[in-house]
Amino acid sequence: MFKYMKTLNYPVNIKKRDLKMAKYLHTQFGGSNSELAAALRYFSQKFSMPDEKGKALLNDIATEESVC
Amino acid sequence: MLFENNNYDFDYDILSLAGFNFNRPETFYEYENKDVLVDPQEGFQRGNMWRKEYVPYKGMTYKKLNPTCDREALLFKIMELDFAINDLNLYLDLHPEDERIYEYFKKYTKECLELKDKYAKTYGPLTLDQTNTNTYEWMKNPWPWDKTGGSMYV
Repeated sequence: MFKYMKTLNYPVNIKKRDLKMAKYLHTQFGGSNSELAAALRYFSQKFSMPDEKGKALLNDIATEESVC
Repeated sequence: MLFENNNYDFDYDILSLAGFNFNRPETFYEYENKDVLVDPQEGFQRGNMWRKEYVPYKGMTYKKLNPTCDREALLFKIMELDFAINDLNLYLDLHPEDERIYEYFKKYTKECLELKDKYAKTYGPLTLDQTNTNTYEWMKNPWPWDKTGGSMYV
């Protein structure tokens, strides 16, 4: 279950626009081998972990990775 | 001739033969003497709450952030504490018996709750649970990615 908090993770102040960098960032956040895909994999694989530490760790890493 | 009859000249470590281990891990001493964690103010801007685990890139330092108005200052404190809580959460998942770090965790969570309540009363709700005002303020602008509305955080 998730709660949304109305803040950013880190403040953003874009002074100069850069299309190339934006494309790179998009591949990191939303591409095929991206953070988002990894977060969803962690989410679905935590159900099959044998011990507490594994479940807790995957859950918390997935919540941290799914920032937007 | 000098080195041919070298069968009885062994090189060995007498101390390790006896079974003593003088190579204790570094973290044992550091744990007692110095602080393992950094303040949230510095940790948030570095990206890391541990004193030892930070290596700056080519000798450069991180950019220092300065909030401009009161609203930004309060929100900045909340962001720092949130980051600290998240980092310690990941550590405590793997080391749940670490009481010293858990004390810091409890302190930060308590402070963060108080600050969030204070922010919600004066400036507007941060989560859906905090919308207890006369009007439905949750959907009002600005959202955190908008540049309009005063500050660049919210």
